[in-house]
Amino acid sequence: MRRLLTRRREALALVSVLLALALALAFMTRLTTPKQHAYGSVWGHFLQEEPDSEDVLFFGSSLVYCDVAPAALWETTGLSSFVMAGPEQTIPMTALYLREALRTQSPQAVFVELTGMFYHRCTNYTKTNVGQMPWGYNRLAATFTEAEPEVRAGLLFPLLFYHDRWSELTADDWTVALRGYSRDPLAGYTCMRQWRPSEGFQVRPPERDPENFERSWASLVQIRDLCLSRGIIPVFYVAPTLLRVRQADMDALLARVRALEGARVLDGNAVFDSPGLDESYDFYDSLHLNVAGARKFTEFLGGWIRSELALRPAAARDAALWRARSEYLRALEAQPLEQWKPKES
Amino acid sequence: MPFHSARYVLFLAAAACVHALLPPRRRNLFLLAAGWGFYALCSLRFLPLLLLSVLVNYALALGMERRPSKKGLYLALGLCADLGALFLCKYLGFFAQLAAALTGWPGGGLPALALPAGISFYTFVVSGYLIDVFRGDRPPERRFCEFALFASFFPAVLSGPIARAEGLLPQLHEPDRLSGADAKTGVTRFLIGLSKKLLLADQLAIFVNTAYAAPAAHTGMQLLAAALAYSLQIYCDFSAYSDMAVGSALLFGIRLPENFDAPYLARSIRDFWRRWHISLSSWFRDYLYIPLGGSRRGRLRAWFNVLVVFAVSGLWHGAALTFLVWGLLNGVYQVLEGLLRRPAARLRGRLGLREDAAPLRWAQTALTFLLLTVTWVFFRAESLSQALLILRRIATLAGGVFPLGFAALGLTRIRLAAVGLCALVLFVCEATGWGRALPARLCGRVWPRYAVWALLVLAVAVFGAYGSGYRAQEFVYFRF
Repeated sequence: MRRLLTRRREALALVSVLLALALALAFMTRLTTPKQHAYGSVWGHFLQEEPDSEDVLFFGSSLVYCDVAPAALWETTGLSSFVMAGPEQTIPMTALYLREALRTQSPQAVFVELTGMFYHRCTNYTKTNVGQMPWGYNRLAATFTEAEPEVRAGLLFPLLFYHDRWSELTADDWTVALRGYSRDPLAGYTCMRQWRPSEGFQVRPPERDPENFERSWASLVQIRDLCLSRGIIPVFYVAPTLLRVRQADMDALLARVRALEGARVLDGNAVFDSPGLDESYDFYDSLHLNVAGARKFTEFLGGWIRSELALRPAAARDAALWRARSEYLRALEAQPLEQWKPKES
Repeated sequence: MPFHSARYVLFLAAAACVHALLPPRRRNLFLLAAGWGFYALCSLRFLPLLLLSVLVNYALALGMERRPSKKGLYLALGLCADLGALFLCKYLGFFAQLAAALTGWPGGGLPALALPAGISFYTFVVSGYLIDVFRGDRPPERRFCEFALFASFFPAVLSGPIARAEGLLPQLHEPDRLSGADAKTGVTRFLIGLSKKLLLADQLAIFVNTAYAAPAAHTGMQLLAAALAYSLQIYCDFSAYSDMAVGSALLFGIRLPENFDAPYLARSIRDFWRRWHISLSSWFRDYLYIPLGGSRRGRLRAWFNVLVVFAVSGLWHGAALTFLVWGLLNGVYQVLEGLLRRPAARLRGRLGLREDAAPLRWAQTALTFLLLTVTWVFFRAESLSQALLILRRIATLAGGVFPLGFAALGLTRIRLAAVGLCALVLFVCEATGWGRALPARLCGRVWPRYAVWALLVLAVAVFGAYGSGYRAQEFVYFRF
């Protein structure tokens, strides 16, 4: 009897301490993981959005989170939206982002930027793209299918990557760890505040890897299928840039996408002049729009959405929130842009 | 497979579980297989050398019993085989270079052979056993499995503690040696070792490595700090390894000899060597110092013997002049201690100081620590000239005292403070004896034990030197 009691006490103590340890480690992970407020992968902010409150979701790479300002889209169309892109995000990663985002949102349309079709399987930002995702099946899938083998352990146990940040923690780290993320006033958009004189249109060095391209294509088809199965309009588009993928490659891709049943396509480079983009002032660099360019491009997108997709704002959106977001963006736009300067060596 | 790797922890946990589930009479066989498997994972190509060493020493010990008249021959054969392999692998290149430098002999270019993992340790284990059997201190082990396990028990095969036949073999004959209390103590010891390694030794390694990588670029104060930090690093590193080895062994109900007894609280160099790497020091005492005559043949001969033992001990650590100087310096210190013992006692008497007066005790401890720090500079340096450069810059306070510039050695102030705090905790534990008593005390107390385990894991997970941003540091003694 005494032995049984001792064993029970041991078991109770072991379970309690393991639980306490797991909670402590989870908190330390939350505290030390870098907080992502901009430059994509802003899952913490995204999960603060009211469920089923977004009319449109945007996915892709930095060409999305630098180019699309949801507040400007709301002003133009009354549609609520969020940019859930990630840096150098590949299309298979986008597919997992979409699956995860659809757990809390039921948008009318999903926009996916297509340049990611030409990225390599693993980019410089796998750690950010996967590491900021909420825990669950999609994060595990991303860890084992999209991340380099050498970073997998750190993605599963983030203290491996970040535990030594304890000596450089800021007030923001503590605030987010204790209270959680707040709502993002820019709804996933990253405001670039410099302009860079144009060097004209250029062709990106070829990055296409045939095997990976087909893998990305399969994910693109999955994205289309998932959207259609949920009654969402899938839109595949190309962001307007000065530095572009080889025209023949992009034309071949667009032709293939256009042939996909149910998919809508928009080539931002083909209609480069329509938004009224000024190539010598509206670009942060040869790929990304600055805040002035983002306003023009987003308003153009709004017009395109109205005429081509005929979406109507859902009743659930929070008008006060969107007014505040609009004012926030206007305040940023009111500040003069700086000219880009090369870093001093 | 270092002890502080996830692979080793998984290996150990799996081995301990399987071992506990097996019937007692199968456990030694399993442990032997686990030991050889572990060695193969660490150094597959040298596994045959370990097996050969086991076989040869097993057979020679049995031979001594069967043919007592040829005991001497068998011992000589055994020692030639054991020490010959050690010499070939570890010292051939060094002595060839030395001979070439001294005599101009053209064979100095002999390439240094790869060092088989743990050869310095398992060679001493089997040689000590063979000498014991020769002396008639113990009968030869007849059961091959137990003998092989004695020589290649995985927690100790790579870096000790150097087990002695009288301590380990009887335990291997106890069929049901496993106990819950030992296992709990073992886990506590393992976690304490892990914490010492990752919270202290590997953090200090960043500081030390930066300074030793370019001593000429650092001030005397920075080098002094690095030298002091290395004294602490090597203790934390090796005692962490020993804690983990002893803890691992306890999971299988086996007690390995202790290697450390608060060595930096020693009041003299002689006292230090009774507390530091005890299994090696006692090996040298029993198998080298005493056979040389020990202190039985007068003071001069005793001092000579001390110098010989410490020179050999230095070379045992590594085939380099820096290790030889390190060993000799430790020997010279002890000779000087012997010479100064009487004058120091007279001085104490004149000053009216009791031998155990606290201020005297602490002053002796501090002086011993500083003297040892000088020897560790040779131990850590890449070459004699580098060691001398470091000592010269420290002695002349090259570059001035201020600013201290410790942050330039790779650890931020807050990290330095954290390391300092951990070192203080370690010091208090050692000075009060709590550290030693803790694992046994926690054994019977359920909640405190689990709380301490959880705290140690949490401290290591958050503040430990591991993961990205750190270069994994192997245990210093793995190289020997």
